Amino acid sequence: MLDMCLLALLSQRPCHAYELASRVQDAGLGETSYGTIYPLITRLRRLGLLEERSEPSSVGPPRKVFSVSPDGSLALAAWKQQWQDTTSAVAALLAGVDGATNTFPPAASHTHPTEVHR
Amino acid sequence: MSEQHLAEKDEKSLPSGVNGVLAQIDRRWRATGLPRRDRRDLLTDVEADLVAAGAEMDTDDPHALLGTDVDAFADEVVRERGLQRPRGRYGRLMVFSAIGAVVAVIGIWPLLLGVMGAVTSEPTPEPVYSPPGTTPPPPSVITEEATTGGTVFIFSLYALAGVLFVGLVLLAVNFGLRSADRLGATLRRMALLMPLSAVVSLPLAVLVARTSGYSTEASVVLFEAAIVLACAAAAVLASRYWVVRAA
Repeated sequence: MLDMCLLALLSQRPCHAYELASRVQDAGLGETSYGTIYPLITRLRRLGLLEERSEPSSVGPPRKVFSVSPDGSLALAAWKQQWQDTTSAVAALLAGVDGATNTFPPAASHTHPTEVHR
Repeated sequence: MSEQHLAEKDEKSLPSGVNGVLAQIDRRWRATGLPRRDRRDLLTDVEADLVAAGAEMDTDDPHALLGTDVDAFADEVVRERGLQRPRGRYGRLMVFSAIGAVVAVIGIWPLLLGVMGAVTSEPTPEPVYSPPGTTPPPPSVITEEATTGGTVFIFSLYALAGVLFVGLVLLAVNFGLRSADRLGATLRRMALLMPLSAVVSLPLAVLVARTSGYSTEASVVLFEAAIVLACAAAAVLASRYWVVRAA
């Protein structure tokens, strides 16, 4: 799921991998290290869902900036639809939960099968 | 630079700490059998990104970016890049092949000797004395057809023993490496290469036997057995290597 969140973030604004790590955190998805983000970006690149370009940096060597490719946009749209369908279904299910849950009758009311023959 | 770490090629230009991490990543990838060309490509990519990230975040410590488990990071990158290969597990492969071979020898050898002994045993000696009034039985004659039939039977027995040997080794490996990747492909290649190894090793063993005048000395017999087993072991290793390299 995190890889699709990365696609969503990059669709908003292209950036480099280490900036993406802090943006994931800012989005409320928890602390995610660069060491986690980099392999996921590697996968998205392999699948052709990202495009990259080299950009000069004022503080160091040129850096890679990633953006969503056309295939990535399609994948993101499909995932977004799937996610909305799933969350709608779960929301409908949870709407039927009113806090009072049905339980089995108390254990004392059970009659043990062996007791029937006594 | 075949055994030199690829990470050491540009040591002076890298920030302190980065080179050590790159060397560790490279060692990890080498240990998993990643080809040199793939390692070089991946390492160039990681290096560029790591150096740029360090500059942006104003740190020379790559562990601050990657965490302390550099090996896990290296494994993850290879997997996500789609370059992960099945582990060879050659040690376990050889142990269970040996177990299968020992069980086969213990089970098959006495059976083989027993059947061959029954087939090639000397005929019952004819009675020297015949009671008066009885006709002595005619002397037994071993016909050419009988000899040919016996030879075919003996070779069939050897072939059956070979099939049982390979089958038991395959069974043992199937059990011992049941959790290994690409086990089915490995077993299929073993089923192909082990008989081929016998085609090479058995004539060699026979040649040694003939050269030694079919000596039954322990050293000669052990040498002949070693030839056959060494070729079989090479076939087992080659089968797994073939599968791992092709993955």
